[in-house]
Amino acid sequence: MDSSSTLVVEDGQSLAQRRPRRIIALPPRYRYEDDLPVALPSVSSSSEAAIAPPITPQIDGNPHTSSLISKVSKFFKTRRNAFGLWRKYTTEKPPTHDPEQHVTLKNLVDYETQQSQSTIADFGPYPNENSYLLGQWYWNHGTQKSKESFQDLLSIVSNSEFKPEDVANTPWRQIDAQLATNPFDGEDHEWMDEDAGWHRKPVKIPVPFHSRTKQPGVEEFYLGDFYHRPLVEVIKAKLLDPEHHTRFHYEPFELWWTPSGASSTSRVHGELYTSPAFIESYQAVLESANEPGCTLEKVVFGMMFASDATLLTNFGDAKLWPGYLYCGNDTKYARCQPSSNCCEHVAYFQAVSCSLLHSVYRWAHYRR
Amino acid sequence: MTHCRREAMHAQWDILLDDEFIEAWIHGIVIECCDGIKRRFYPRIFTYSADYPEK
Repeated sequence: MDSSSTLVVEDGQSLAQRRPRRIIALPPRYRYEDDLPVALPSVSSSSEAAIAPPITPQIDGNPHTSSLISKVSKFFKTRRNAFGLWRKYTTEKPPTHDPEQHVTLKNLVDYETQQSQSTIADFGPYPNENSYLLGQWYWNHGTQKSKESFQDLLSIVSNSEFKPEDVANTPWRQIDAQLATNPFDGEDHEWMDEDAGWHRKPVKIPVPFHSRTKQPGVEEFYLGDFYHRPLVEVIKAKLLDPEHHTRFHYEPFELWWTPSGASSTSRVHGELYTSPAFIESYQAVLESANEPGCTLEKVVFGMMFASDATLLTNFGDAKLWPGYLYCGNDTKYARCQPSSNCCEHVAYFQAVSCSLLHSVYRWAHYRR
Repeated sequence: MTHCRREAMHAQWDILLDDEFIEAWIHGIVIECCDGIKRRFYPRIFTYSADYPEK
């Protein structure tokens, strides 16, 4: 008996399991722990020295220059964060609301943590899980019996969680009727809903006809009904939403990057609320005259419209042209996630239909 | 054709940018935010990314 067979007996491992393993090294970029993303530096973390001392105006007798210098030199800076990023506000004081202090690692990564999935299960019209499983089995397994389907049914009823009393009193007929109803049934059901805030307005477009046509002059043609939501209502709803409030930047700032050990700084572009256009617009609003008797903080609400044609069916040309509104005070990382509910439908544009063009053509060439 | 499409788009934007919105643009909207601070918001349009249905 050789030594290797003794070993097999000793630790119960086969020859293949005992062979030496090759050590596979990860590529260098994965070997070191990566820096985790962090939020921008908080405004409360800024030291008293971070506020740049106003430059003493030069005594050159020109009041315009001195006021300009003092205006320019007053800004509020934050400390650098781990990546060397820092914020510079165009105002003297720190902002009254800082969304970055609410930012945690969870907001910055896509990785879903286990805890967030432990929500209370909702079985729709079904009163409990067992009723739901049976209902699901009945509707979703085709009309014909099969062995697989039978196995599925057995696995439902043989489960230790299964209780006959759960399904004995389930109002099956009622639930099926509830499942069959379509919330969009009935004309104008959705549009006329007051809570949805949609308005409908007929649109007419003027079409001029030159003097050599049968009926010269301007004639109005009916385009269709234009469905829209009043923008002011949409803005109000957005601003009153507590979830959006935590993410909104009410004051724009410049984002700068100073790498550790480097003497040069560079401007970082990326968000609407750090863009020169937003800052410029904010300055214009600040410098404009206040409303009479109003001392409230003035804020710019950045509106970003988007619209694109959406084909409704695979065949035919049923099309919708929805108009969307995004808010630029929100971070782009929230805007790009459908789950964050940042996008607001504000309108459904009507396109020029063939029948309208046909009636325009008829108007030009024939007398009614 | 082009004329109709342009007019259609302009007519609809004319409805969307209603008097209430223009009023808000000029004078701002006062809203008590969720942190309890009242602020006056001025809506400003920064981007409009869309296909051009007029063509």
